[in-house]
Amino acid sequence: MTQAPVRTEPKTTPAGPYVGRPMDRVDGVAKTTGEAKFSAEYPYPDIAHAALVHAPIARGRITGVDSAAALAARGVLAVITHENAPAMKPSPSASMLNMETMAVSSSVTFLNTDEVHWNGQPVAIVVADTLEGAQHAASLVKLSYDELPSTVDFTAALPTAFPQKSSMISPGSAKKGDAETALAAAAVSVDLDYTTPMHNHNAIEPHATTAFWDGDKLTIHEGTQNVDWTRKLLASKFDVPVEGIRVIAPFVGGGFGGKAMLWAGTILTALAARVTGRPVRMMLTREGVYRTVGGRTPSTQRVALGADADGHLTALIHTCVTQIGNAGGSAEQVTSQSRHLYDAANILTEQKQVALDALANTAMRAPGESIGTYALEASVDELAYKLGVDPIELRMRNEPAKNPMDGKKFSHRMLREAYALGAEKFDWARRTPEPGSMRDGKWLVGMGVATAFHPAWQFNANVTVRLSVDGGVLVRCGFHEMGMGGATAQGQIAADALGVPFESVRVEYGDTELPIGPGAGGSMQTASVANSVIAACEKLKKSVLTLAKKSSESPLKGLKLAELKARDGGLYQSGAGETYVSILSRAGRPSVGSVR
Amino acid sequence: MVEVRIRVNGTTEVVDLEPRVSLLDALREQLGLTGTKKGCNQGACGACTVLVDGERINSCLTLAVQYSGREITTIEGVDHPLQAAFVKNDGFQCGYCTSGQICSAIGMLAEHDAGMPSAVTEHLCAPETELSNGEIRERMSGNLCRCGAYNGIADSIQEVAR
Amino acid sequence: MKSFAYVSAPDVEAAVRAISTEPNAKFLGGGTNLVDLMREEVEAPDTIIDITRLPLTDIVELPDGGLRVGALVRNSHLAANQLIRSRYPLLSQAILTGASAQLRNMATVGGNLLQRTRCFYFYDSTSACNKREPGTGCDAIGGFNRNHAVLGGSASCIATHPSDMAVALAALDAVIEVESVRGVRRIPLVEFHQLPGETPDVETALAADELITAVELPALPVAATSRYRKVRDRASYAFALVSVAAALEVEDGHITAIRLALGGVAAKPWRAYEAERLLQGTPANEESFRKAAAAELAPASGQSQNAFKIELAQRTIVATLNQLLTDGGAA
Repeated sequence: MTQAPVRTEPKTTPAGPYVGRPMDRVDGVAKTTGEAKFSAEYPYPDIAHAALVHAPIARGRITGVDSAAALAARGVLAVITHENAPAMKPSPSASMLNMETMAVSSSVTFLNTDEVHWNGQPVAIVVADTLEGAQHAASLVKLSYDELPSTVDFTAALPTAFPQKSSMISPGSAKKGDAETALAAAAVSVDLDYTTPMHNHNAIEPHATTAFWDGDKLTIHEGTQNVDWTRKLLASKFDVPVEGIRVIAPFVGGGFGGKAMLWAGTILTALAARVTGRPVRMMLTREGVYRTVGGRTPSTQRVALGADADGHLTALIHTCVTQIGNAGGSAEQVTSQSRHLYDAANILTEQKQVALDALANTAMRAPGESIGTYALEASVDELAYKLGVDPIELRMRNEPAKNPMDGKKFSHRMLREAYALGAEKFDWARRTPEPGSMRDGKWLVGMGVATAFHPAWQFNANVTVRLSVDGGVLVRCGFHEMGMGGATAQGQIAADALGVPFESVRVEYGDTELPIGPGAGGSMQTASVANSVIAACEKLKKSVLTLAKKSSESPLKGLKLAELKARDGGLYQSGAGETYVSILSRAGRPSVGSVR
Repeated sequence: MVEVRIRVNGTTEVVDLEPRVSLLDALREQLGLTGTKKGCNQGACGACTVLVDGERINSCLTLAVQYSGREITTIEGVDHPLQAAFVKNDGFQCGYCTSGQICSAIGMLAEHDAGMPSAVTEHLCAPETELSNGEIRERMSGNLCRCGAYNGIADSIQEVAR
Repeated sequence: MKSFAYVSAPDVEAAVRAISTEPNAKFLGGGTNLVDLMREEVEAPDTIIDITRLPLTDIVELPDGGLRVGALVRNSHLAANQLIRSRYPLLSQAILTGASAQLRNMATVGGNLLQRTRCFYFYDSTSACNKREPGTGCDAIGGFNRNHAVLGGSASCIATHPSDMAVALAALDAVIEVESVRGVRRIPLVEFHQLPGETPDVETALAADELITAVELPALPVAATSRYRKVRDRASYAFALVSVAAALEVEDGHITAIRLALGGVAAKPWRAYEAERLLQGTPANEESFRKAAAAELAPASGQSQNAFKIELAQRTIVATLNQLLTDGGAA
């Protein structure tokens, strides 16, 4: 749970809403003074430190473990391997009925198996009373392996690619008409191949966990993008009641998708704490992050566009191959935008995967769309150049009136207007299309355009809003802060919804003790929480109005909420109205709260 | 174990440390000063930047025992206009690199005031250089920000440097 | 990192005595390389001798106009020194393009010379590396070798030396002074770093019990018109793919003095003797520059991922000399 510090700015409600106005972040002071605490920074008496041992082979079996030297090293409390680790429950399979299963990163039950599934898989965790002691002792654990043949090379494995399964939200492949035939018959076409490399999130804060058990109750500080799913999965893994687990994450030092799932370090730190009976902290080394936390899959893609002589697309083909780990991995939806962006008579999107003995790949910054949009948009530019048509003009000629694949109507699509406005602001008219034709002094310069596509999702967000007799507002929701400024944004939204000064709103988040919030992922946290905050504020205003009307003295008597504006700390119609403080004081109520 | 006396933020701290403990870990684990951050532990990200006798260093690539008798300033001991400037100019998002950015910027401004050139300084012998946006970015290149708040960071420093 | 004993040497005599008596001991200066290597368990000394208190921090003018730089002068201070900036600008520029400001504040001159390669296989204890463990092989050959050597490599090792400062010192014919219990010795910088041959674990001419105490820069008028140019994947804070240290003096359109050294291409800073020989006395124009660069890189051999360095080194030599011609030195 975290808190905005007391602010010393004047408590006035300025003209105009808070949303849309530049605001200082409410956690700005904490972050610029070193006060903001991240997951490895909570002091516990008697804390111990842990370090991982990683398998150096991609596939095989552990044939022997020698912990003697490690156990004899200074300050070592335990060396936990598959030979002595307590049994943990295997991770559940992914199921949309239990959304937390979406955060299972790997099918491997760490330290409960002698099998190695990727180079880097944790095969031991060492616990010592100092950080240096744990890390050095980890280097002393000797394991022997029976190495098995493995498939680790993405490019070499391409001939073995198989069709990507469809998910509830994304088809593995899609087809409209016969794109290959249309391509062959097209007046003008481009047919291009692209590759994108593996990417690592590289949040500046390495994954870090501090765990403390009290019987079957677990308190865990974890830099995570989803406190609720972390809690549920840990409960499942350790077979303990979920109500006894508390996950605390007020400040996360960057996530980018890499902290959205449950990874080995978190599970094993909790295990180490359970085994030793001590609070245990482990921050992964930077190398440890690369070896146990997945990144974005590499891709190889083909985009082929066929058009008639005036640039109307007759064929749009987008195929790709990405990877998935044999012991876990996320399906990357590389071709999703290609089904939506352009009107083409014939469309083919096809996604395939290769299965590698590799660390599970995972979501990272616009999974799928960032690398797929690159290939599609670059191809549109190539086609424009070949046709001698301006790239914006070509896009405008192919702007669909309805969803290209299934003819559904768009609820809102203003790409034409966006292109026109952008062209004007960037002085697009001065662009010459020939590569290398524009100069600025000694520099070659260029101008380009591309369309970004990303789905707008919403997840459940449970929010409580409470109004106190002193005028203070408390918003509570277990959402996350990894730089998006959630507490500030939701404070602005609540302040506008209730018509109170921003400074009077407190937002609590980042803790499973709070109402369950959405995870921070898919760029949907702010919108999801905002909708619930607004709905909760509506209910709150209704409750306050009802309370006001219980007294014949209230200026709000006989008025409906729809006729009132929330402003200046109360509800008003033109000049007549009443502050919340007045309403609650008169009613003798310390607070009014609501639950969505 | 070695007894180490270092002055941190104006207070003399006496700690018994193994020689292999870095200054970064001594600050965070022994002295409870967690404002200085560990991002890579190999001198690549700058999140661990502190000031030693006013000069900026990466505290991760040190042995704490080497710093006996030195004056260390961490973010907890900083009271500088840069802090308000970072808030005003949105020079951070997640905040994890921020302590290092601020300490590094303080050290950088001192280096600039002392007339030290940088790799982008056109005339090395000029006694002073204008702290342009390009100079700021070069001089701050040892501090990474994965959230990408570089523009806000540069603006914050530019504002204070004027 | 394993445990070790720590001693702080109060003077040079104590330091060299300690290193000759303590088994498996290493000197510690700024720590920017050694601490990292110890944490990676590539280096594992039993005793660390802290030399940061030694009185080797001065930059002193020599009677002949050269400079004597104490081995513990910090990189940033060396680069900022006005005598260096005006008389040896390529050295100042070289240091300023290296590492980050924080690391330059910590790193010592001596430590910079002794820093070890950043080859990934050298760092990775599960990889074959003849430098780290003689006889195990070289995984860089046939592996990820984009950053590796195109000159002076061998079938045993293709690592590069990462220092920018050393490249400039090589161009200047700097001399390294070292001391041990046996006395003082002087080693020309160009002879200090060793090519791998069949013994890539032998990196320098320094004996295990010797301490670098100073680096001397000879008086060199041409150095006043000099530059250091570094080509790398990022605009800052990245090692060189290829770098060039050059000093050029031209009279009546002909080259009267030339110094040239390359970085990023070999296990030692590469003094371009062949190019210098061809350039001396020739017309100062692009054609001469190209011919000399081609001759210097003629014996180069590329690996699976770094052959581009051969062309890049030539172009960088030409570009740097052109820039000296048109813009003069960096001072």
